[in-house]
Amino acid sequence: MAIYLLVRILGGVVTLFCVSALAFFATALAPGNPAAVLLGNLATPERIAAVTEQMGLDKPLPIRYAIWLKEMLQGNLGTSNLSFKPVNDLVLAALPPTLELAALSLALAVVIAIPMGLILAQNRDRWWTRPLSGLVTLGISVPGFWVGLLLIVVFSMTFKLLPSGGYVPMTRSVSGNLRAMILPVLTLAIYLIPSLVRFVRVTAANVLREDYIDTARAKGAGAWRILLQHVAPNTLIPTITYIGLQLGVLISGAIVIEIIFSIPGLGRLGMNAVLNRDYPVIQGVVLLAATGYVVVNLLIDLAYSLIDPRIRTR
Amino acid sequence: MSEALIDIRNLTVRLAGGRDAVLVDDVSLAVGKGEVLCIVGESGCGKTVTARSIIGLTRHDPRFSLSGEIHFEGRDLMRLGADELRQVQGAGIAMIFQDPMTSLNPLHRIGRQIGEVLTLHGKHSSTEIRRRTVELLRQVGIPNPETRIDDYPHQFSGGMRQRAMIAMALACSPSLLIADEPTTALDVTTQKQILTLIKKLKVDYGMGLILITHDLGIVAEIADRVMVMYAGRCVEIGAVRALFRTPQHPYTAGLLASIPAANRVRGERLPSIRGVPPILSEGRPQGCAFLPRCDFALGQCRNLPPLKASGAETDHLDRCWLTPEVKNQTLRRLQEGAQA
Ligand SMILES: Nc1ncnc2c1ncn2[C@@H]1O[C@H](COP(=O)(O)OP(=O)(O)OP(=O)(O)O)[C@@H](O)[C@H]1O
Ligand SMILES: [Mg+2]
Repeated sequence: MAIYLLVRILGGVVTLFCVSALAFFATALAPGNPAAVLLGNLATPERIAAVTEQMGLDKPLPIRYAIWLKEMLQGNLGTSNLSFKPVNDLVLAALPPTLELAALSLALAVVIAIPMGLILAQNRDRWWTRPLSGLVTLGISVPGFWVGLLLIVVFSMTFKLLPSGGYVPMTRSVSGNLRAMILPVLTLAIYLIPSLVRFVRVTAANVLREDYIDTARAKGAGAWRILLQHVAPNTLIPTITYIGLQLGVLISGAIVIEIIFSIPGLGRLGMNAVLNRDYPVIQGVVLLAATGYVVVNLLIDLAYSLIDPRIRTR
Repeated sequence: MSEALIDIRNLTVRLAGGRDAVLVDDVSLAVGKGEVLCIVGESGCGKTVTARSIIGLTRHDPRFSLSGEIHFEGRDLMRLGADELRQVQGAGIAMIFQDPMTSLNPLHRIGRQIGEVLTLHGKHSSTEIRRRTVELLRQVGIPNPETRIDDYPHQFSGGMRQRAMIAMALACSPSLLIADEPTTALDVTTQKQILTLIKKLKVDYGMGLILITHDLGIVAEIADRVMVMYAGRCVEIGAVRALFRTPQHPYTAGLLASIPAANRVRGERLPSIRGVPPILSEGRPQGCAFLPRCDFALGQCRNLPPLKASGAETDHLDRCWLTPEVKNQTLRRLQEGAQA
């Protein structure tokens, strides 16, 4: 058990190291000189050379990577080429909206999708699950932002009930914060729900075919008891892993949602950085996203080993 | 047979959905108190579907449609609603399945899974449930039941899991136990132990037992009566002695002839029934379903023979058109020839 966790943590560290290398070299090897971008129409060959040297871009790549890695390990992500603010500050300021958006959407998706998937599986032979399953399939093929735009049109433009975008920090106004978050969270959740419902439905349908479900039936257990005590736990274990793997989808979805609803989160920060070749910020955002991915999956592994006796008691 | 514990009349199970697939066809059987009925037959002839239908597992399964009567303790189980049926399942009738490796919920402790039966049938005090569970585990021969009760299934060997399944089945002292090939998935020494255990507990608890098996040696050892199934039908049913001595159906005679006897000359070919049984979900031949494989077939066999007594005993029934002379002499010789 301890060894299992140690292996997982080591794996996470190795992953992060690879991502950091990827983030660095992908941006460093991208065509175009950041110095030239930075200078814009002020650029002359002399100025470019000067700024290049000032930014340390004239040194060989491995050395630049070593310097960057050293700084990064000390918690210093560098300075934005665009605003000259420390990347740390930019990223930290953009983190809360993204975290809030991701956490609320995921929570909403889980709360809706898991019961729905279980019930669809339990009643897979009833007529009324057909249209619902059809809706789920439709939902998987509809792009996430389309629903967001629709929601903006209905709730914000037609009925003027909710703001169409922006972000209110929770420290300023809790109700304002929540009001601003309703549409983005709803959009992202609707984007996440269909595939999660499908996964839960298929997994639960397979669990329902397991022999131990027959054992429970032969004991005289009723349908609800079987669903809650036998099917649900055995469905949740693979579902937790699936959610961990879906974090990438959550992150990319959050980027789109942040742009649609103009939320000043990591996605928007990263997007702007890409458009402006602001390499330190790009690297910072990528690194943070990857860390989040690795840490959450580590937590999931931990949860897994607590829930699943086959791992816990090994 | 004294008073019937369970009396099944004309049980028929079809695959739902319009296809004309009859998995169990007009099966009638009765088991008395404390009596052992063995169901034998080749793979795919409907033994499991029959057993699952008796305890009601196929009743609310939309893949099957059932008809017939199942009289148990004064009620027709086929007429019970889902809730009433559940009160019988696990309490009056219990079932043990073929594969103990997959029959236990991997996420629940053994004790909880056994205790669940007690909870479902009215026991609520947790100390009482635990005490009874430990006692059950001891009865089925689990060492250190006080600690093993908190184990998970993966910490149990296959034999121990089947013992746990037996404990679960016994929890509410059922009057009928259905065991569907309870030893097939186990190694040979464990098979013997589990069978001995079932035999002993059947007596201790005074249960009727319906045992499905492929092993005619087991049948000879444990059965009071035997039902031979072929292609979803009962082709022969009777007391074990009568059925083994004077098989009335060529299929039964064939099965008996293919038992490897201990005194058989080594290297001599074991007779087996040629051909394979029909796949029930794809339909059967008209008349006697055994016709294409039968060495004694008559023109008459295109019509389905009735189930009737043609041997010496009135409760020894078979579904075959052959004359009593052929049945009592030829079939018997066929079987004895194989045994000699
Ligand atoms: N859910 C189902 N859908 C379609 N066909 C089924 C279903 N369940 C059982 N059958 C068919 O019913 C027939 C009888 O199956 P059953 O499991 O009762 O055989 P069996 O006598 O128990 O065989 P075995 O000795 O292999 O256990 C088989 O032909 C099988 O294919
Ligand atoms: Mg079977």
